[in-house]
Amino acid sequence: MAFRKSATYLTPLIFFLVVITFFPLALGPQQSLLSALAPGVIWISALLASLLAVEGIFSEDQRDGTLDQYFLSNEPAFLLVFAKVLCHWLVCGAPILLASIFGSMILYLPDGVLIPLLFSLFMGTFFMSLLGALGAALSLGKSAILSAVIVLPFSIPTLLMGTAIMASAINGQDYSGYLSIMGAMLAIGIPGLCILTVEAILLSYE
Amino acid sequence: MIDFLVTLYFMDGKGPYVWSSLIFLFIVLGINIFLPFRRMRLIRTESGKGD
Amino acid sequence: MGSPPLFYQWASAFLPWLGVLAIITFTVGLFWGLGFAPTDYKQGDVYRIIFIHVPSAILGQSIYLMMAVFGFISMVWRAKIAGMLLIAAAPIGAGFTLIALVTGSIWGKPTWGTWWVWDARLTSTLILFFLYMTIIALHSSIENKTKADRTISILAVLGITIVPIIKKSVDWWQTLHQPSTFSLTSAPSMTPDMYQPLLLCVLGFYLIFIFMLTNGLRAEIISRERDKNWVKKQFLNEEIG
Repeated sequence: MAFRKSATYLTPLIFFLVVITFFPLALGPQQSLLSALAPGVIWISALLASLLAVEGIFSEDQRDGTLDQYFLSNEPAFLLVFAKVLCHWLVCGAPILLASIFGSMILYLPDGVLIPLLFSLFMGTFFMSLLGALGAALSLGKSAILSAVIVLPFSIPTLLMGTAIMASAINGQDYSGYLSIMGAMLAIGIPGLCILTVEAILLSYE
Repeated sequence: MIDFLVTLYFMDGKGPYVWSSLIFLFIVLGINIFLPFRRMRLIRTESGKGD
Repeated sequence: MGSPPLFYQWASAFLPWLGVLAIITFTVGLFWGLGFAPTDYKQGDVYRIIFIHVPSAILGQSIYLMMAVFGFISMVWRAKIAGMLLIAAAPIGAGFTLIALVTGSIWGKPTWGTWWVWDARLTSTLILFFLYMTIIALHSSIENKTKADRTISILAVLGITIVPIIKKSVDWWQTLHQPSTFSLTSAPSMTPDMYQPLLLCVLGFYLIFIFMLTNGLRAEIISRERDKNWVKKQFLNEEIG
């Protein structure tokens, strides 16, 4: 259904690519500089893009009344929320993941970092989608930036973890420990954030 | 007495730092104290006009 | 007990006493610290910023904790007053955190040579400031204030759970990135002569906070109940102030 409006999945993608492009434009095309910045820049751009992508996730459902159905059906609401976020991520987040490969090329990402980048981004963007959904639910119908900004501080641990993965990959160290921490964050985050999102949606009915 | 005030003012040559901190403190506290009063005053004048 | 008019009367009755007490403690503490505490042998007189910086930092953090408690009470017991206390406290806490950041920066320039450094504590305080700002922004964007209160409560409770995690991760981030041999001299090791005025300042700041909170609560109550009869009778006939 999200494919109907290509804007839904194109916009975050374009945002991601444009932001990445801004860095060499602003800082100069010198390879050594870009190479050093690449992991962080790609991560930040992906983080922002996936947060913004999710911002309207509930507005259509709210308008046409589908939102009420979440609570009337037999399935627990948080599973429905999870399913919705998952589909949304597949449509919007996964392209970002693929685009990051392109980003890694134009930013001269150091060798051997691509795989850890993809792993960390895979978990990171999904976590961002969950967080963004919570933000969207909290500020249902309000400004888009607000919904993203509310949850930005909560993304800090994920950001630190993701970039740590890449930093250790660059140094040739084993990064699997960090990966498992991120995995744990995701494991707690999925049920936790979905439940909180449901609470937030319920709140908007008062 | 004057000596004391002079030392106080100059703070070992770092006077501007200390005093600007104090001034900033007063500004922020002042805003936070007067904002509620202003809010209530505005409500008063609004309601007054409404009648 | 949970009625707004009652709370308003209480608050208004307390306010002058609170104000006097707060101002006295606050002024004495600051005077003592800024004027009479012994000079630090390492930093000279500039360390006196500590009497503004430390109490502000302490308040900034405790207020956020209090807001989380208010939020919890508001969610679990549906107490409207808790929600109002939460939003009244927010700008005050944000203000103190800002003071801590700015005075810390001002203090840093003459002592470390730089306005800012990305150490764990400064970074965490900055993030705390952002948390305050998001709560204030979100609340003001929702028209129905009862709904706004409940939303803010969720955010505050979430925030308090994330704060230790953020602190841990920023600490860890610090060690990961091995800052240059920048050993930040923490606060001067303090003699009782310095400690006492500092504690008095902290107490004074707390009292000022309670004063500001009470006043803010009054404004919040009036603002929400402005169409009710009790406001028309009581408040509008009062003397200004």
